[in-house]
Formats: sequence, structure tokens, C-alpha cells
Amino acid sequence: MTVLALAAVAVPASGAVAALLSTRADRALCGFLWVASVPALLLAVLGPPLELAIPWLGLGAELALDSLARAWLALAGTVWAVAGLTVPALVGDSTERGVRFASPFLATLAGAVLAALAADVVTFFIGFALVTYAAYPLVVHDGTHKAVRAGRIYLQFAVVGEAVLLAGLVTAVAGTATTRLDTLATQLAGAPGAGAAATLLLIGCGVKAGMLGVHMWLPLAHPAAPVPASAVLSGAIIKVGLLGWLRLLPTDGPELAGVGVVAIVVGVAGAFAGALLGTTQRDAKSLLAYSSVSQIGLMLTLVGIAVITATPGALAAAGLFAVHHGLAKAVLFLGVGVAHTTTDRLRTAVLAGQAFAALTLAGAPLTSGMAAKTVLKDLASQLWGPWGPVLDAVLPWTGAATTVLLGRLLWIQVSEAHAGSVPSAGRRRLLGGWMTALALTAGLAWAIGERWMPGVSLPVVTDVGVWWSQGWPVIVGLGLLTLMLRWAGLPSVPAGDLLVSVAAAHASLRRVARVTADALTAGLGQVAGGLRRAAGGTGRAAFRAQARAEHVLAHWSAAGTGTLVLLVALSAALVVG
Amino acid sequence: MAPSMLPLLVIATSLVPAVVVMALPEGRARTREALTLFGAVSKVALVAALLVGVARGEVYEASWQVLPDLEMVLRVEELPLLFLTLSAALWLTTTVYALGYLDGDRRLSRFFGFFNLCVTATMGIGLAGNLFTFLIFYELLTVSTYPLVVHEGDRKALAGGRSYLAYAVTGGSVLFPAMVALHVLVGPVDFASGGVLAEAAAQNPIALTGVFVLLVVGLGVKAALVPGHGWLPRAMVAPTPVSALLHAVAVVKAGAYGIVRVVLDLYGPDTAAELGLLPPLAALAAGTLVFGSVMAIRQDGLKPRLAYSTVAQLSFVTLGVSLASPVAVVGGLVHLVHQGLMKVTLFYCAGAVATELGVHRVSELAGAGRRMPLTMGAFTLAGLAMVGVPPLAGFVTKWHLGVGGVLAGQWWVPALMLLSSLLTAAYVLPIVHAAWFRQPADPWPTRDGRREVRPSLLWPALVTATAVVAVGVLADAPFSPLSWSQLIAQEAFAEGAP
Repeated sequence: MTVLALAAVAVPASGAVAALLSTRADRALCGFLWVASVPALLLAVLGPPLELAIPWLGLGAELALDSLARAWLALAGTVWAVAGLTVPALVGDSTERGVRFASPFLATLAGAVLAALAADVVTFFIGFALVTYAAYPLVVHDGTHKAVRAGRIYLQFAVVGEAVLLAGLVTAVAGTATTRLDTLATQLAGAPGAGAAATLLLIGCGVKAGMLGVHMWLPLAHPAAPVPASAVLSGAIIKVGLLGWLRLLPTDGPELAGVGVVAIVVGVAGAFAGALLGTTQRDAKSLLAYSSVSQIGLMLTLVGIAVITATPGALAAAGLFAVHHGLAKAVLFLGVGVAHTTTDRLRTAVLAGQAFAALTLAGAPLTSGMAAKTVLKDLASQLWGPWGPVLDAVLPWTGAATTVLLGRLLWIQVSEAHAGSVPSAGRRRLLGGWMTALALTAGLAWAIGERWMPGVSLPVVTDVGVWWSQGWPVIVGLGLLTLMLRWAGLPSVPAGDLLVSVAAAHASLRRVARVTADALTAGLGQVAGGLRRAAGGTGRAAFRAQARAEHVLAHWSAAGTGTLVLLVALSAALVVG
Repeated sequence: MAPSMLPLLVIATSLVPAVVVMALPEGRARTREALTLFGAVSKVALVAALLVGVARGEVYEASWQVLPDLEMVLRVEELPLLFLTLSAALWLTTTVYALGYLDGDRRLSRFFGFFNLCVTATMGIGLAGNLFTFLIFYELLTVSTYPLVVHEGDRKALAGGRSYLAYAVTGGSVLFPAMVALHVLVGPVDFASGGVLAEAAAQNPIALTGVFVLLVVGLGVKAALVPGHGWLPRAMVAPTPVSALLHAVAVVKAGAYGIVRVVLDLYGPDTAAELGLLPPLAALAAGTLVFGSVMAIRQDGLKPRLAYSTVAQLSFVTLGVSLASPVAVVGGLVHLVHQGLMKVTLFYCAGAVATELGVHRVSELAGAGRRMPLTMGAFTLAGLAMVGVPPLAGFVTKWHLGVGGVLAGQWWVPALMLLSSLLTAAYVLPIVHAAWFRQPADPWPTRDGRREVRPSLLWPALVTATAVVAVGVLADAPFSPLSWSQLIAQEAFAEGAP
């Protein structure tokens, strides 16, 4: 089994290197991308609980296969496999483009598997960083102006996130004097600097997960990537951030309940804000990206509950939720690509499948969403003080919001014309991949539920009471959707929401600064002239350097400023909380 | 062979080629190349043998009386070996690179003569067992690098060389009174792990503080600590192999190594902390780090950007030894090696791009990655390592500095690491992005159907880039820079403790 664990990382990693070095179009490579996730899937299903230390690797690597790791392996393995099946049809296998896509696609898988199996902080961070940086070529793959812009903003957020996470890890490790993830999580609460460490970890992983406030890159980057990449980005890669929260945030001791409360508030706010902003989108993939922001908010709520109550069941529930959402989101993203490329007769069937995945995310009865959301509500209602009843009242409405959001998606998809057909070779695998994902969406979360995730108690499938409590938000959502589509014109918010307004504010700030500077320059012109002459060429060179620097900074700072403002605001919120 | 001969042999393997090559007529290219390469290869072998010997606990020392009371001491220990191994290894790759880079140039006997003399001085600095010996070789280094900096011989080169000389001589002249003062105050002292000035510091704290300040000022010029960094960007007029050497191994590294020796082996970390010398030094390093990074972002020229990046990166070494925590010291020491590997790779690649495509500016690099995938691949690895992406070299450094800082109660250190990662990303990643993802205005022409630079410029970069990955991935393996640095830090803190 040790060999299988190593292969789960090594197979995709060596595939990535092979694809990188292969200079010619390699049809075989693109056709068999799905094979790379087989070891991870086998390990998830067959592997016994496992601990593995490789002292000479890195700063002493440790791997372990526990229940969370198993859930993440299953999730990553399935999502990459089904997305890999669609690559020949949706990216192309006969050109250099396909090969260029293969390498980062496999590298992100290797990183995600490594992060899932990691039992020590440094190994986890290595996997995390591999996912972050390898995802960049996926985002800019199309090479269009839009993709390059999205890539730039993605990278700015990612670098900030990595740096914040590193600072958090360093503080946490120094405070607890351990690098093992399990001991770190249980000892952090009482360690010196725990508040700062937990804040940094919450934000650092939050950037990757798409937490509200640091989510702005996500609705730009996920739609910019080719469809299979969007599926892994939204289905599985943001879950690496979620895994970071679950592994690193303290789950023992009441000292850090404040962090948990902030997580719950930001999470619930994100669930609604994501749905609202998403409903205003005109592009199917942007809408789905906002849906991810919304759903990750629900998972963040579970993280908050885990931090406050220290129930192991909350961690397991978040794992279950991640599998449920990842599969459904993969279906929806791939379905956008499939619907674009099929004939009219099949389109109806495809849209029916999309509708099923949408109902799943909304939590309709009998779907995996019913399981995930019931578990969430059960845990939330047990919280102390006013939190239990408040969440009890609020959470069902997220189902209504999701119904509205995804109903709008179907509306967009129905009214879209299809773009053309694909070569028949890729088509069979494309449909196969999408249908596999659809089938797993229906069954996998129920199947692994209590068996793999100890501490989770799933609802009884035939319990009509649960049907009703899960069903009415969907009905209300459908009603709202009808009203909205019939009477209200929708406002349109550009993807990236806050980022755009920050950019505008930044631009006007720059104008003010420039006017001020011009005035100052005019006033001090004489003096400056004299100084410049005195300094000779050096002065002129400095001015030129200044101009160049402005040019560079103009490209880098808009998103950076926005992020920093939000980070400061969040930290302030945490200190108060 | 007597053990005392080995340190001398380390010096001789470059001193002898230096003298012979300088005497060679310009036309004897084959002899010149053979001799230089032979010296470089045999030095690497020699240092490898010393590594094994020292790991077994053997001591190699050569010393002789110059004046009564004044000894030349060359001693091989753990800390010197860290520096020697890096220098010997990178010298070999840089020799290969320089032979390829300057192929067809004029005045090569002069160049390679001083090139070898420069490595002689560096080896001497590494081996120096006391401040006097250190100073002798330190000045020799200044003298022997000047002809390399002005190699092109035009007005710009001469101006750059003048600036270099002005800074270096001033710095050196501050060191001399510091050495004399120390000699008067405490008599002849050798470097020793954990420091030798504990007693003297207790008796005469003010004078020893003064000496420390003079030493740091003198060494700080070569180590490019702000405000002594001014010569570094101007010395960029040198041919690229020389820049690589200046930035990774020889000059700036000699300054940083000097500061490490003063803190760890002369004063000792505990004594320096008691005198209150470390917080100002840490503040100086932090300021240099931020200043260098911000200036690097402002440069469009590839080499100037790398030059300011050196200013920033090198301050990690000073920062590490000034945090008074064993873990942070490990981070500083290991960065002596890591910074060298990363920066030498970046310079090799910058030189290769300039030679092959004639590109000297970041803004002209669009599409270079497609044209020279291996070169830019090496550049990308080294660049990501500098940002601190795990598991590459720079991450190992930042991890230890950050953890060490928190352990020493210096909560601002992780924040500084955060800031440094962001700033480094801001000056490295645009280069990487342009090279790989931007379309060039006109497609780069291939040369004879070849897509890469000639092998003598490509292979050194590939070798050092591999090392950048290896020192991170195998950080905990025996004989890795990290393990060796941990050994040094352990001794420095064990023997300094009361």
C-alpha cells in the first residue's frame, strides 16, 4: 500500500514532467489523462489506514491516510478523471495546445493528492503551492486578453494567499513546537500567538477556497480557463483551501471561538452574497464560479462550527459536503461544455442532467444535497447561545438562493445556441466523462457517508419530514425565479465585483495623486530643476526609473490594494470577534 | 601528505593557474583553458575530501608567524567549509560558463589570470582563521576583481570600476583600524565557534561595541547592506560571468560571510546579544531587504533588477545571524549557499538570453520561453525559489528564518517574510510571465535550426537549477547545506553557552 500511496502522487507528477518535456503533439498523452487519477482512486477505496515517514525528503515528509484524506482522494480522483476524459474533445488532442494543457492539469492533480495525504505542515504546504502555481497556466491557457487578465489577478491573489499562509504556518509551528498536522490542530488553541496564527491561516487558505472578501479572483479565473480546467478548479482545487482550514485551524479549546464565529458569519454571508452576485451574471461559467463562492460559504460555516464545538463530526461533515459539491459542480461545468457541442436531440437530455445537478446543489430531497445540508443543519442547530436558532432559521434560505441561481443557469443554457460539433473520437469520451460524473453525483456521497466519515449521521432517505424541510426552500426558490424572470429586469454586475469598483477607486485616487504631484512639481519646479542639474544624469535616470516603476505598479497594484484593504478589514473583524 | 598542507593546496589550486595564465601569451588558448579548468576541478575534489574529513572530526590547519604576535592562520572547519564548498562548486560551473561566454574575446590571459586570482582570494577569505588573515585576502579580493569589472574597457566600464573601487577601498580602510583596535584591546585572537570575546566584552563593552560597528560598516560595503550598496548596480557593466561571480560567490558573499564570522566566531551570538548589537543589525538587514526589493521592482534592465535583488536576498544572511535564535542562524547560514545557487542560475540565464537573443530588458523578453525553453525553465525554477515556493531552496531559508524569529520572540519576522515574498514575486513573476505567456512582436528567429543557447552557457544553468531543486527536496539529507548549517549552529550555540 505504501507503493500505491507514492504512486498516487508520483504518477501524475511524472506525467506532468513527461508532458512538459514532450515537444510534439502527443495524442496518446491527451487521450489518457484520466489514467493519472487511478492510483489515487484505488488508494481511497482499497487502502488501509496508513502512516508513512520519508525523513530524507524535504524537511522530513510524513504521509497518512485518514478519513479526510480518503474523502479528498476520492474527490480529486473522480473530478480529475472525468475532466480528463473530456480534454480531447474540449481542449484538443491533435495540437500543441493539448500537450500544453496536459502538464499543468496533471501537476495540479499531483499537488492536490499530496496535500490530501500530507501529515506534516511542510508537505501540506508543498502540495498546496504546487496546486497554486500549476493552476496558473490552466487559467491563462486560452491566451486571450480576458484570460491573461484573469491570470494576472489570480496570481496576485495566489501569491498574497501563499505568503499569508506561510506566515501563519511559521507562527503556528513556532508556537506549538510541532510540524505534525494532527498535534498542531489540537495544541494551537493554547499556544502563544494562536490568535494571529489562526487569523493568517483562515485568510491564507481562504484565498484559495474563494472565501467571501478574498474571492474576487475566482469568478474571473474559473470561467477564463478551458472547461475541464474550470471543472477541476471549481470542483476540487478550491477544496484544497477547505482542507487547509480543516487540517490547520484549532479544533480544541474555547480560546479561539472568536475565529469560529467569524468563520460562520463570513461563511453564511458568502453563501448569500455568492448566490446574489451570481444571479446577475450573463455568462454560464461566471455564474457557476459565483455558485462556488456561495457553496464554499456553507463549508466555511461547517469549519466555524468545528472550531467552536470541537465535534469531530463537523470535520467529517465538511468532508462529505466537499465531495457532494465537487461532483455536482464538475457535472455543471462539464455540462456547459457538453451542451455547447451536442446536437439538439441530445441537448434536452444534457439539460435534464444539468437540472438534476442543480437540484442536488440546492439540496432537493433524495439527492446528495439532502444528505450534506441536513448534516450541516443538525450540527448548526446544536450551537450555543443564539447561534443555533439563528442558523436554523437562516440556513434553509440558502437552498432557495441556490435554486434561484442555478435556475438562472438553466435559463442561460436553454437560450444559448450550440457552437458546433466535435470530432466523433473525442465525443464519446466527453459524454462518458460527463455521465460518469452525473452518476457519481447521485450516489457517491450517500455511499461513503457514514462508512468513511465517522461521526456523520446521514438522514434516513425515506423520511418525509426531511423531504419537506429540504423541499420547501427549493419550491420557494422556484417561485422567486418565476417572479424574477417574468417581471424584473436583472442588473448586471461585472465578474470580479468588488475588484472592479476597487480598480475604479484606485484609478480616481491615482488621478488625484497625479494632479497633486503636478501641482507640487510646478511649485517646486525651480528647485527640482536646480537639483536635477546638480545631480546630472543620475537625477534623470532616477526620474525615468520612477516613470517605469509607475508603469509596472499600475499593472500590479489595483488588485493588490483591494486585497490588502480586505485583509485589514478581516483582521480587524477577527480582533474584535 | 601532512594535514596542514591541505589548506595550502586549496589556495594553490587557483594561485598557480593564476600566475601561469597571466604570463601566457594571448594565443595559447588551449593551455589557458586546460589549466583553469584543471585548477577548478581539482579544487572541487579537494574540498569534497575535506568535507568528508571534517565530518569525521579531523582538523586541518596551516599557520605561520608573520610578525611577533601576528600569525597567518588557514583553518578548515565546518563554517569555512560551507563557504568553500559553495565557492569551489560554483567556480567550476562559472569557469565553464565564462569560457563559453568570452569565446573570441581579447585580453583573455589577463581576464582568466585575475579570474583565478579572485578565486584564490575567496578561498583565503573562507579559510582565514583570524581577522588579520581575513583582511589580507579581503583586500586581495578587491584588487583582483577590479580588472574583471572593467574588462570591457569602455568609459562605462571604467566608471563602474571606479565606483566599485571607491566603495571597496573605503570599506576595507574601515576594517583596518577595527582590527588594530581589537589587537590592542584583547591581543591576538583566532576565530572559534561560539565566539572568543566574552570576557573582553564584560570588561570593556563600549570599546568592543565600537569595534563591532566598524567591522559591520567595513564588511557591510561588500555585503551590500544599505547604504553601502551603491557600487553593486554600477558594477553590472562587468561581463555576465563576472556579475554572476560577484553576486553569488565572491564579493558580496565575502562580505556576508565576514559578518557571519564576526557574529558567530569572533563575538559569539550570546556575547553579541548581551552587548545589544543584534537588534540594530537585524533592523539594518530588514531595511536593506525592503529597500532592495522595492528598487528591484523599479528596474527594467534585467541585470540591474537582479543586482537589486541581490541586495535584498543577501540581507537574509545578516538577518539570520542577528536574530539570536539557533533556528534563525540556520536559516541565515543556509542562505549563504541557497542565495548563491539561485542568483548564479538567474545570471547564467540572463547572460544566455542576452547572448542568444540580444535582450537586456524585462520588457523585451516576451516569448523568450518558447524560443529557449531550457534556459527559461532554469530561470523560472530559480525565480520561484527566490519567491519562496516550496520545496525549493528559498523556501527552506524563509521557513527557518520565520520559525526562528517567532521562537526568539521577534513577531515581526514572519511579517517581514510575508512582505519579502510579495515584493520578490512582484519583480520575478512578471519576467516569468512575459517569457512564457506573452507573444513576441516578431517570432524569435532560430539559429541554424537550434532553439537553445550553446551548451557551454546552457549546462551550467541547468546544473545549478537542479541544485536549487535538490537542496530543497533533499534538505534533510546528510551533507545537504541545511544539515551542515544545523551542525554549525549547534556548535556556535553549545559552546557559547555558559
